[in-house]
Amino acid sequence: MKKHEKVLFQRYKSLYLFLIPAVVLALVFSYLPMVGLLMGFKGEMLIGRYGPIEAFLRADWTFEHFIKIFSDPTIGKYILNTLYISILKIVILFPLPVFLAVLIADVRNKGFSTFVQSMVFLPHFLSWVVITGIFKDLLAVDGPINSLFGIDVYWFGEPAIFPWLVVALNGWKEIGYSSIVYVAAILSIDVSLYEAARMDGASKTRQAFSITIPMIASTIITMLIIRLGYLMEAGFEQVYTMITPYTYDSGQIIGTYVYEISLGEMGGQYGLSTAVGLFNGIISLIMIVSANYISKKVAQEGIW
Amino acid sequence: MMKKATKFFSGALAALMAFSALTACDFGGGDSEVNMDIDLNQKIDLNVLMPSSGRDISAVNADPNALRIEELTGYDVQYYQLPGSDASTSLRNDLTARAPYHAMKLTSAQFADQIAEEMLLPLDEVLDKFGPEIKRVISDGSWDVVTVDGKIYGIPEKASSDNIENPIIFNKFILNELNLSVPMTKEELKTVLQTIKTQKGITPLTFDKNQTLIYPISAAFGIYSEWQEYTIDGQTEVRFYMDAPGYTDYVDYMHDLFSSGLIKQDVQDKDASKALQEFGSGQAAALATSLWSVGSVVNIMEENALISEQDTLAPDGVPNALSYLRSLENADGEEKVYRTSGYTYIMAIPFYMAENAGYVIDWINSKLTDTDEAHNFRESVIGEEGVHWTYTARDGYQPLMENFDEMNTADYYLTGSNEEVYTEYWKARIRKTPEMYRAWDELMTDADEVGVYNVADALPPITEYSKNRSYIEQYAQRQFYLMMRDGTGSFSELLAHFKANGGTTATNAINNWYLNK
Repeated sequence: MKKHEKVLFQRYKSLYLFLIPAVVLALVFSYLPMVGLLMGFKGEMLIGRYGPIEAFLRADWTFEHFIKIFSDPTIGKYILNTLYISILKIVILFPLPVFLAVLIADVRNKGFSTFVQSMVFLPHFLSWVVITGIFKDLLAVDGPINSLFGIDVYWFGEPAIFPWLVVALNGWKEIGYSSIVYVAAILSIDVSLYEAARMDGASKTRQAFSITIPMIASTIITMLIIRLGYLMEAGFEQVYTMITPYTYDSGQIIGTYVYEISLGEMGGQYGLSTAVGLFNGIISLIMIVSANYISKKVAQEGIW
Repeated sequence: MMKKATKFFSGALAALMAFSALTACDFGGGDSEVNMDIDLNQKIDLNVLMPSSGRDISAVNADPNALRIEELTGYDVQYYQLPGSDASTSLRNDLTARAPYHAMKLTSAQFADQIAEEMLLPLDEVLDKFGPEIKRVISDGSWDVVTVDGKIYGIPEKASSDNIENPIIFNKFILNELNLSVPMTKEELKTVLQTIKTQKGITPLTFDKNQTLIYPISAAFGIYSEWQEYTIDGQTEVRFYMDAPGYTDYVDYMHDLFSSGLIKQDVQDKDASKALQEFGSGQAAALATSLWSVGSVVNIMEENALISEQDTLAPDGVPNALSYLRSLENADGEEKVYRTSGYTYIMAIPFYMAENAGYVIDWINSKLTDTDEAHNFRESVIGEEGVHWTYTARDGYQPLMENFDEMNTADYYLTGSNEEVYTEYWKARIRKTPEMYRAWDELMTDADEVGVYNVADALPPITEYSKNRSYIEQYAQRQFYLMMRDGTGSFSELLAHFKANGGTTATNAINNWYLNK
């Protein structure tokens, strides 16, 4: 430890105490379970019979799971699906909460503003099972939306529509909730800036683009980087409730695939699912490190 | 201050280590042995894991049938149940966590999975000592199904009767109105569906997402059951339906019906209850379903006023709203169709609950006893004479309608069946719903000549098969729906994938067993 650091540590040592609970939690729930990644290198394990530790020791070491990942074209396909859905979600859904927040912040009538906010938050508190159920009925072949337009599209069964449907439902559910953080950021902007702008005759749109958005830019960038860290997570719960045989080809993502082969209908392949999960984790790590790097280069801002 | 922090940290670490040591300990205790010297007069309370009942667990425990069994056997039983979906996952997790179930009522697939995971207790000795009646009333053939490497791991519950139970049912009123009769050939089926579509303006045929082999239709292409014997180039072998000679023809035919708009577009994602609703409300005119849904179908039709007062005045007083197609003619003009058999459930004991296995076997032994002194089995299946049923030599066991409702759930509580008498008792149960009895009676005409068994229905647990079963079944099912929509253009690739991912292994395993049995 350098001298300077030593002094700092001496001065603030009581503060380190407050760090302990967080460190312990991270150790127990984030680092300790990583030991389980070794399962990706193990053959068949009788976990039920011998418990995880003994079963692990009994099983043979193997690379077969990784060989399968790189040789099975379907797994590559699922990775692409994950990226495709995830990127669609970012490109289409990331700007919308910002837009919504700008609009909400401009509503003069307090009551109406609260009402609108509550209405758009509401879907966030419904579970995906419920939401998928509602939309499956609304969009059924003989359902109300099709009858309204006099068509018979099978919305949930069209592979080409499926990723867009995932994005649309995700937007419907989360836009309101995601906008909270931007609404808060906008409320903290100095009001005098707007007053000055109004004096100069700036229109509402002008104010939004010249004051509001630049003032909350750092919040937007932080949120974007955090969002990019979840790039390989295209929404397990959502896709799991929505997917059907017709849409596996365009809709099966890594999350649902790992679930399916470990705990789901084709279950019991713990080794393979761990290997796929590990592979997925490595891609995510690369993604977030590069996103942060690019952001630092381009916007001089990063999260570390 | 610093010292304090170190102390706190080491304390936390110690707690963490103690925690992990504890969890590790949990899994150590797997060496319990069967206690053969138990005192059967000092009965213990049993925890029994059941399949999903669709009811609340408190209702399961308070059911009159459960209470009747407690009275007959003297054992207090606490029932638990698996969830309706992902039951096998739940079972696996419970057993890994050493849930204290004295006995479990498993499906044959779950039983095979748990054999492969080495979770079940061998029962030979304990059966010999505590289960003489069990050994007597279950046949040798049935024991074969639960025997692995010469050891018995479960008590099989043989199906009530070998039924033909997967018809396509037609709305009789629509057939009559359009002057149609139940089709006999695949050409006739298409014409009938087409006529209904044009005349009534509905997509006529519906079924649910778990039906890929529509048996009455696949029969026309020589596929009668999932695993069946085929003669190919003079060689006899067992194959899975996806690999069967007529499979592409079957799928092509289904594709033709589908693209002609004769099958509901969303069957790949349809729950069974939704399919029943569509048929029962007149949005569909034909429904591929199981015999056991007939009662509900009639109820739904009545709710939707599709069956009027007059229709119920059929000669036998039973609403006569349905026509049944059990099988189209195959290429030789014969009628052949899947006949179920085998084992609905298997009772097993987790290896770590070995100590009290004697009580479990004694409990089941008492339930299966059906002698002149104690008709325990009869009472638990159909209740008491004069209260729930009457008997005449001519008509067999007849249910007494006012009280028999109580017995509706009795089969849920079966743990193994007394094979000598079960079929006779079971007929009383099916007579309770007249429409169901009529359907059953009609479908079972000449069953011995028409019925074809599924080779896998009597399969003992074979590791190579059970490890691959769920994957290949799921795969075949998904690909079926895709090909029904898109045609069989890429079939050879799909078949190759099927073979490479467990299809061949499972097929060889079944053939090995089948040809040497």
